[in-house]
Amino acid sequence: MRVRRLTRTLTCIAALSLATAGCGLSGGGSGDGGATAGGCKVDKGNVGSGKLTGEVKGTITFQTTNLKKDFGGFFNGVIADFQKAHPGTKVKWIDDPGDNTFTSRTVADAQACTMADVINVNAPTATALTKAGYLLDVGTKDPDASKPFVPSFWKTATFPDASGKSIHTTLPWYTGGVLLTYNKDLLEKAGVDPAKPPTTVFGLFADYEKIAKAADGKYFATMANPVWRIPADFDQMNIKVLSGDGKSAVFADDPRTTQWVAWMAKLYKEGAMPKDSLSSSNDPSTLYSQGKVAYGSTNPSFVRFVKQNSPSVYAKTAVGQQPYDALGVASAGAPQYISVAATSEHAPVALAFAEFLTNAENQTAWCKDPDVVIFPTTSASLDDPFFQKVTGTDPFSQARKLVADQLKTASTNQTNLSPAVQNAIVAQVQLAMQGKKSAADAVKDAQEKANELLKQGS
Amino acid sequence: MTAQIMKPASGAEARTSAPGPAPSRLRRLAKAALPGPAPGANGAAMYRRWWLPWLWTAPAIGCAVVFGVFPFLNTVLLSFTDAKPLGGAAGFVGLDNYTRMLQDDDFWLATRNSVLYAVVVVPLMVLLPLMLAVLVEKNLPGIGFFRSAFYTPVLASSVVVGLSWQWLLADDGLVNTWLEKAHLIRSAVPFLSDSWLILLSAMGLTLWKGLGWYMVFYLAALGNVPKELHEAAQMDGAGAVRRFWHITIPGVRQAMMLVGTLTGIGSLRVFTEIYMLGSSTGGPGGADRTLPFYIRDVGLDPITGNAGYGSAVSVALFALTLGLTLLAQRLTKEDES
Amino acid sequence: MTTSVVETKGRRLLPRWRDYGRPRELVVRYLLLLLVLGLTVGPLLWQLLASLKGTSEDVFGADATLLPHHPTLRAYRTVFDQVPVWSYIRNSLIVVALSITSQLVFSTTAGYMLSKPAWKGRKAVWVVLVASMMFPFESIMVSLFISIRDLGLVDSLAGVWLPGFVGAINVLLMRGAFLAVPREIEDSAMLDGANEWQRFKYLYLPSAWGAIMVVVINTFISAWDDFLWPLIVLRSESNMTLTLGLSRLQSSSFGYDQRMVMAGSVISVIPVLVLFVITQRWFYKGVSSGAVKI
Repeated sequence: MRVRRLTRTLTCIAALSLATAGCGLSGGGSGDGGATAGGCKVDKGNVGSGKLTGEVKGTITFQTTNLKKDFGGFFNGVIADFQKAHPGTKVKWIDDPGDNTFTSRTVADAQACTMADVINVNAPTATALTKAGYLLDVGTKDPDASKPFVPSFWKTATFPDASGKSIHTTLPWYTGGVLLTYNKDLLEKAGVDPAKPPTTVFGLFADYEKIAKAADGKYFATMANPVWRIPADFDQMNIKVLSGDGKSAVFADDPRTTQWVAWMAKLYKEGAMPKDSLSSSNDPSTLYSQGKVAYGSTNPSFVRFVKQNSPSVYAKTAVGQQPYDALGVASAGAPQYISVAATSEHAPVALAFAEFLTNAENQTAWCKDPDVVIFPTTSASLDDPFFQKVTGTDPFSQARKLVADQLKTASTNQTNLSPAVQNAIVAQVQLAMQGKKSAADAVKDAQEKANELLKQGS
Repeated sequence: MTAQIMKPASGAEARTSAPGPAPSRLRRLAKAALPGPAPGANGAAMYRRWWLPWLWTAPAIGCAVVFGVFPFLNTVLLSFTDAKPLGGAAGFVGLDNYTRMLQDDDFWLATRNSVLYAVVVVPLMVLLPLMLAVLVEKNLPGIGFFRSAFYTPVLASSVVVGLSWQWLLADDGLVNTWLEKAHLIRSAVPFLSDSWLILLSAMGLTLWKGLGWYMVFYLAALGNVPKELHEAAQMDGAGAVRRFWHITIPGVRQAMMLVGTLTGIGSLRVFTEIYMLGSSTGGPGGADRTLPFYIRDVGLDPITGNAGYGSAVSVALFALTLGLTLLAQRLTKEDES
Repeated sequence: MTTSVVETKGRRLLPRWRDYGRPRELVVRYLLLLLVLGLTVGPLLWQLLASLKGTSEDVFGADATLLPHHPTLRAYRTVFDQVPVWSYIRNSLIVVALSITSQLVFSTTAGYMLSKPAWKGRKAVWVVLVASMMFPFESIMVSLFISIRDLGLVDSLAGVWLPGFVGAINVLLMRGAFLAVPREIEDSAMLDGANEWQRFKYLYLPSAWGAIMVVVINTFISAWDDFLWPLIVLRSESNMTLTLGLSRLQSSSFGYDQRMVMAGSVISVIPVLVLFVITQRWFYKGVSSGAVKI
């Protein structure tokens, strides 16, 4: 009796709220046939084909990712210069803390049509926003946009739109580059020559194995979580991870993937990696700084981190070429990009500012800042003597020169996996490393899971 | 079933709402004189101004509808579509998401983890903070310090908590070092690499963080347990343990039900603890993923997410939460009678 | 175990431990308290002490000691130099004050009405309230943000506050406390001619003092600690709340100083801890006539 009355009440409430929800849902969407980007109404000039025209006048917001604390002075200077060069413009700078909620927060922002006009994005976020149409196609809107950039950077800095067509929605900004960092002492103890870094990924794995044997559990070669290596290792080995249209996973078709997983499982079993790092979010910085891991992180900023935090280990640190393997060239790491929101109300100002910020002069100036170990993506900047000057055997300077050289031909064709797909592949490799699955099964299952996610998302 | 939850708990209230004898003379007098409750059909009083209760509760209802019910109904609608997290055209797909869910092994694994989490955490979270509250209830010298200290885990930021627990549970962490020194183990216990142990450790983390929070609830409730009962029992020679079971627990029964409901809802929503100890995959092989974790992976991922499917799993999570809450309420009720 | 009056009188000058109970029981109590202290605070101690370490000391690893060798407040000074902590604190306090006000007013009124048997529909209201607590925040995040945008509250403290306007959990808490107020007292108050509002204000509210304190501390912490929602709503540095502002201390791309992250955590915990120390005596004491019920 009581239950029935309750059910009736609930039904009433549900019906009422459904009606409200219905209103809310139909409220969105395009109204009178104007131009849209994502779910937002935008200026006609911001989308479609044709060069962006209009007066460079108005106020825009510019969003960086956690840079204000360290580089406030530099960016305020750039903003002041821009405003001086373009009277009538105003740039409002906001700074995102840039933690692991960055992508979901930016996406929420985009959906609410409130995204900043000029925004610093990483590859996953750029992929998501391009697919949904929230970013201005700078390649179309300014045909000259490509000019200042290293050609290989520009060519590969594209993202697929909703139809799968690759478009330029980003301007390359700065990158960390990739190199090997290692503790010379630990390598020499295992009979690995620090002066001759291996040229293949499997060669590197063989060195890890030697270190594991010499260490006997007292120290380790590297960290276990495959999340640090997928898809970077696959890219370096030129294993095709996704099909051309990005709609299905194909990495299992390459026999080297299974070999790679088998290697990882073997190394884990033999103690080349700390057992508790299999699904840990800790990168090698902490253990490396304690001299407990032989190989450090692969970005040059890491060398600086060691220099600041652990002088004794820094003295034993050396840098070397990341194995080129089948790819044959260096990887540019995970570059940072500057994008213009398609929802911008002052797109001409936003585009002008984005180009101003990423021009050779400003890129060089920032990358020379003593507080950063990053590299510019413009041709003129990389030739700057600053990146060529090496003082003595200082690993920090070595790293700078090595990466600056690499970057002139580097490839940014890093596969952009969605976080969910990356996690799905990593999870299967973890199972193989625990010995719960054979390498072949893990690779097969990983591809299946990845495909399931790719299918549901398209 | 739900009606039972809302059955008035205190004796006094039960009396007024029970059908039967006519209201007392006093009551009638009072009602004649005041614009208060008037007698209803079955003895329950009705407000003369029917809108008065609604006025008083309106902000709370509004908030719950706008920030809870409305987004939920939106979720229900989405669960019949193939919407994407970033919007765009969404097509109606009928029950496809639900049939996919039933055949999805990962969904069932996440459900198992979530249910297991609730089954282990809820009883402990109902009892341990109560014991803690009893321990700090007495006004001893320095008790304010202890109460505040026990509360600090509630306040600690997730960065600090994550680092602290890794420091405790790593292979060369504090716990393993002590166990080895005590010669209890020969090789390190894999707290952070075995999927069962990660789940257990995460439960421990939840308990550790929730102890102080619910201790405060119980402190407020313990004031209601008559001191005389304790004194009488002590005279009869009942020890602390017996008094706890036979006097304290029945005395705070209602508070325990509230804590049980809240922790039940909370433990089915666990995400952060798993993320802290098992990183982005949710433990090796994703074996420790809970339902919210799974929703994030299949529904919220901005590139390959499917908001429709994610919504279907959210609806399942909601149904599960409601079901377990009602079940727990019913079990406690039967236990009582 | 003889506690004669004479003996107590003879030792009046000594601390009157005897007043607190039998010695053996007291020892057991304090031992248990210390044990729990170790379990609850122990894991945090090492991290917090790290904030006092100088740059020359190791924070991690086997060589890192528990106690800093050369304790310094350098990390704290750097935090205050690098980010506008006072502005963050002011913003956090504004959100906290708004939340506590609205939560107190509306959770007590709603809780009060829900504790009354005399109206139809209260069961449905109860169900709506409980149901509203059941969703993971992430799954309603976007629609919530769009509502806030439509209200024009993006990048405003009001936008941060609004979803915490009144929480179901506090309504249920207050409802339970009001249910425990003996009906007889209200009956006599009605006879005295007190109207609904007067009974609520002079009879019920004072009886539920303990639960009100719990609502205050709960609200304080939720508003103070909330991270993801302010992150989504706020933009400008001048509007940022403390948790949000301090999260920038852990920028991973250019490395970060563990000591400063810890110092930031300590800074954010202190105000809440102070509030707790002040209010804790009331949780228990004030509720002798009220209780928590669902």
